[in-house]
Amino acid sequence: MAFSEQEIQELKEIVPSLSAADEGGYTYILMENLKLPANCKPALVDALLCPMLKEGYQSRLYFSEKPVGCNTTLNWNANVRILGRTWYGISWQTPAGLKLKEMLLVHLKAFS
Amino acid sequence: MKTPKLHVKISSALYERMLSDLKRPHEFASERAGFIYTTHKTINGDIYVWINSYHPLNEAHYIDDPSVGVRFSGAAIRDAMEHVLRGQFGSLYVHLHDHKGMPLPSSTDIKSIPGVVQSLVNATPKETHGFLILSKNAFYLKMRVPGSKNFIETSSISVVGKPMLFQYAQRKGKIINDRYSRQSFLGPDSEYLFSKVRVGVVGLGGGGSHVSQQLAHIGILNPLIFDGDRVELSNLNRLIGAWFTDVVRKTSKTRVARRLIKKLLPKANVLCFDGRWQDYAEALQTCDIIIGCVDDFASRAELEAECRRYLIPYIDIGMDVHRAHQHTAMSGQIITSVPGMPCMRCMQYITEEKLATEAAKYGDVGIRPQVVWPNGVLASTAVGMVMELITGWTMQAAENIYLAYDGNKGTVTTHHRLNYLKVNCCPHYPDDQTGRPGYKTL
Repeated sequence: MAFSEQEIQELKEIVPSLSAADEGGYTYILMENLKLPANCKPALVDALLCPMLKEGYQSRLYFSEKPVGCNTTLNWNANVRILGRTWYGISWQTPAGLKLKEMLLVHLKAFS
Repeated sequence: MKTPKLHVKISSALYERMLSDLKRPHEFASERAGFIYTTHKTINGDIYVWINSYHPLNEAHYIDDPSVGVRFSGAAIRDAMEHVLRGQFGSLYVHLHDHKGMPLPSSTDIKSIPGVVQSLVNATPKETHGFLILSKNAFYLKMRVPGSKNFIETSSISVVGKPMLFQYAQRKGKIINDRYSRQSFLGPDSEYLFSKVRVGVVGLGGGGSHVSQQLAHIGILNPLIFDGDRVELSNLNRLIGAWFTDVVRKTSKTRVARRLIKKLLPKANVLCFDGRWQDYAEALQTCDIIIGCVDDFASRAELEAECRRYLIPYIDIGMDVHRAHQHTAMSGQIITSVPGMPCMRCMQYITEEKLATEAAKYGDVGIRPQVVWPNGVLASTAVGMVMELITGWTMQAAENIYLAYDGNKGTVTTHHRLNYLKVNCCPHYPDDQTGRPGYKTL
């Protein structure tokens, strides 16, 4: 999956360190040291964004660890291995057709 | 300090491409050469190396020198150093001695190769570097591990394909045992291979318990078994090896399987993992073959992805009983997913539609019907595929395996989806995505 330079630059405004890899027909964007909303602990985590249709979700965001202290009602329905690492994800749907930055912000809204 | 054991894996597709390239005649050199690039990981003190690409020497870098098999310029080494630096790879300098039997380094190899390897070590000192000499049917491979100046021999080299090709250090000759006299058709090396290969079974329910039992009967000495569940009353209609007292005692399924295996094969080195395989991923990565007996498409997709990354052939089995048109239909599948060959997505067994439908039903799966006899059919067929992968006893050409079980008719036939298979190699899991993932900076 290719991304426009503009989308990448917009996403870098939130997370400067971005890289991408493919697995199983999906593209994943690795965001190192993503800053989570206030009250989340830890404040910084690695995150993996899959910006394409996957398992019924328009996009999915996975975290290197489950943050605590921010929205205890979340349904953590993913504890999975992707790209040789363990990731955790919540059940959170995003609308179709979003740009990368919008996608990330909608996902992070779950923790506000 | 104890010398670590080295295990090296390459996909059959990449191995064949490399061999084919090295066999090409050269305008003036009597041998061709190239570089292999690798990633590695240390697991329980052993080092696992995955080969993810092969690059032949640039033609412009060959130097005409009839006194040696192959000579090349410093530019070839610089190219290799740049490549390992860019990807943070390890490397192997590779060439071919075109004969059968164990290849040995020539006097020129002994004199010149260490310097080549040292250059690559200087580029990425935290990676493994070494050299590989191929013959028509054997390998001579030595590597330097990070922090060491000495070359060490590999404990095992696996060419992952159908069938697999294994070479182990310290070949001890044929094992002759009356116990296995009835399965001698599997080949003179079969008992030795069964004593060496590591076979993982993920899920020890109705299917996995059958598989574990059969692997023990055949003589697989190194099973790794993964399941976090305990025996319940409703398991007794199909869980091979489980007793009523296991229900009372809430015995773990791994304990049941281990007990069964050890009764059949006391020498088996059974490794039990009481939990989700994801929590023991590194143990799974050390397997040579995995049989998956899991319950849903998402679990299958995840397990297949991990197996592909670490070059492990994956065999999937499963059964289903459902109501259709006012009658009950029983079905199942046995699928072999071999790195380099089409995967379960290529074969349309796993699709986004199925994954989405399954995700939408989360929490409402109900009680899935399961009985012993179809599990036996599926498990036996899967074990037969394991035997083929290890021994190649049928000597049939490698082909995709997707078998459909019709429990109403009692048949196992090739699934019609294979007729529509559009690819010979898998676009979902390319060769270069093995071992450590290769992220590209955005």
